[in-house]
Amino acid sequence: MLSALLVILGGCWQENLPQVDIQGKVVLPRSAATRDIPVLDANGDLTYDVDGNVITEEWTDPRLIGPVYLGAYSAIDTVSFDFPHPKMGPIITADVPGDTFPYGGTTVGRIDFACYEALRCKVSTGRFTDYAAILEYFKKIGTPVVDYRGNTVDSASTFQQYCYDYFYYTSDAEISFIGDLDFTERDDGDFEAEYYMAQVTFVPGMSLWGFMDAPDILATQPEEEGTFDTCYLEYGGRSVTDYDQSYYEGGPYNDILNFPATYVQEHDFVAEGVVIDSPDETPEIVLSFEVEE
Amino acid sequence: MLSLPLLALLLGCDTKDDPFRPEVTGVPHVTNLGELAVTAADTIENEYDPSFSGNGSVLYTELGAPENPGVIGGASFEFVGTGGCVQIVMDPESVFWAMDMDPNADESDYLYEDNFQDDGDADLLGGLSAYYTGSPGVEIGSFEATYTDPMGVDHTLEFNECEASGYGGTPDAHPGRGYPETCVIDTAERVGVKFTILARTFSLPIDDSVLNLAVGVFETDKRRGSCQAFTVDECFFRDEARSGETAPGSTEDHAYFPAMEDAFCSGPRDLNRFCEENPDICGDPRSEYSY
Repeated sequence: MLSALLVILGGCWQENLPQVDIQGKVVLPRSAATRDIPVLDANGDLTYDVDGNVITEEWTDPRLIGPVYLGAYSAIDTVSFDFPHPKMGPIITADVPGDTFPYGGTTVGRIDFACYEALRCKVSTGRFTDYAAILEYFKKIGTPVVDYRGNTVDSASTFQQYCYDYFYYTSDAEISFIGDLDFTERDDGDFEAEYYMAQVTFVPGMSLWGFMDAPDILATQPEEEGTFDTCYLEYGGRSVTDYDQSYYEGGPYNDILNFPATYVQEHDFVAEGVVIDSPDETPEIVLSFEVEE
Repeated sequence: MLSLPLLALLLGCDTKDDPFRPEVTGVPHVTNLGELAVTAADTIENEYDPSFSGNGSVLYTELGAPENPGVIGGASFEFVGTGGCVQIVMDPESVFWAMDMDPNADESDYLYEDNFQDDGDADLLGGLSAYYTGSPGVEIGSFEATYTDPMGVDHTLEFNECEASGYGGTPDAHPGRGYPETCVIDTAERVGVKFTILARTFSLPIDDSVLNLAVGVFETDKRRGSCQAFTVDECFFRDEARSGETAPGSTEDHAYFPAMEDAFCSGPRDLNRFCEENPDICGDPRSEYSY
């Protein structure tokens, strides 16, 4: 009898912890999913105009939306950079931004390893429905997926089988980089997604801020095509050693929310910041500011 | 009526006779060794198996327990930035080894337990003296400061540049008792700037509650853009268990240590022989119950 009462009372106990879960929507303008991509000839090679410049065309596709990093910060700094940025602590080392000391954060889509070394740091979760969508995307941006021998992978079933072998998986349900999409297109042409920021230390009046890490398109080095700047290529993720293959899978840096200015590059989209006064609010974070060179 | 149980509870907080509480010996719990000259790199003869026997600027000191058990002690010293990489080495008494538990172990393995009662531990921290919050020789401090953000929330700023590795090379950790500790500070563009190093007491030896240690600072190389630490082991500094030469109340009970350290540095065979001849100094020998 008494124990049952204690159980009931336990359910009523309010710990009054400052940590809360914040959820809402993140919105990207249509231009964030629009990039100039190379026009390829029948052989898949780049084409050039009379001046020797690569011929490009405009392409809009939600697969061009890279991982979105969202954080809760003390305030927004509109002075230190050419784009809105979270307020920083003191700059201690020259040329290194100050720590922003986020209260919490999350991502919408995260960098994932899609089985082939050639896809390191180029694939985000929540952007591709299936293997064919990945193959089509990379072919479209001019860097078709290749296997470790350098042969082009043009069959979704080959891709699937290689992934099953690599991860020892037996079903697509275990593959995190294909499946449901994060972003949906709105009536106005912009793209929106839900976000869930768990266990944020809530401070009334704090600001929610974030940025989308756009993939490198028309990169200087062809192998960098489609790469995300927030990905640590050299030593990120697990190391792979298999016969003559030796590399790291690549993975996100661990201080992206603390030092976002280190990673924000041209074509990325940045939020102006949203002030939040109550954990019950469902703020819409709009990444409306395009970072230019 | 109520006060009796309360008093009974309070008695549980009396730590005066706590067997785990070090004895207050009169040896100061905080000391400052002053400024150490950075010893030239060419005094390190073998990069891969270095030892240092020169007089250079190696200092020996000792630390005791504070009167107030809530206070942490340590030894601090300073050096001046050279513009290059400076390696700090600290060796607390005494030596540490792990007895081999393999039933097939032979004389080339450690066949005796380490005497853990004569081992102490201190942790290295260091950075610009301007960031050090302690009062050298009076109370130890840290290399931390507080930043208050626009919402009034405090955050800790870390200025410690002395990043040691744990026993076995674990990054950003401190090796345990009796084991030497080292770190490298790049003083580039900080020529003539003063740095403070703190050897913060982690544990005092159980046998005498006095921690002897040796410290020194050395030039080291920079290759491929980063400072290269030379390997430091127990045999780098010798006789660190000697009593401090300047501290009052010095203890003189470590006469055995140089011979034990020599045996340790010669290898397990010599150490096993030393332990066999000096059963009171080492721990117990292996027995069938050891494994």
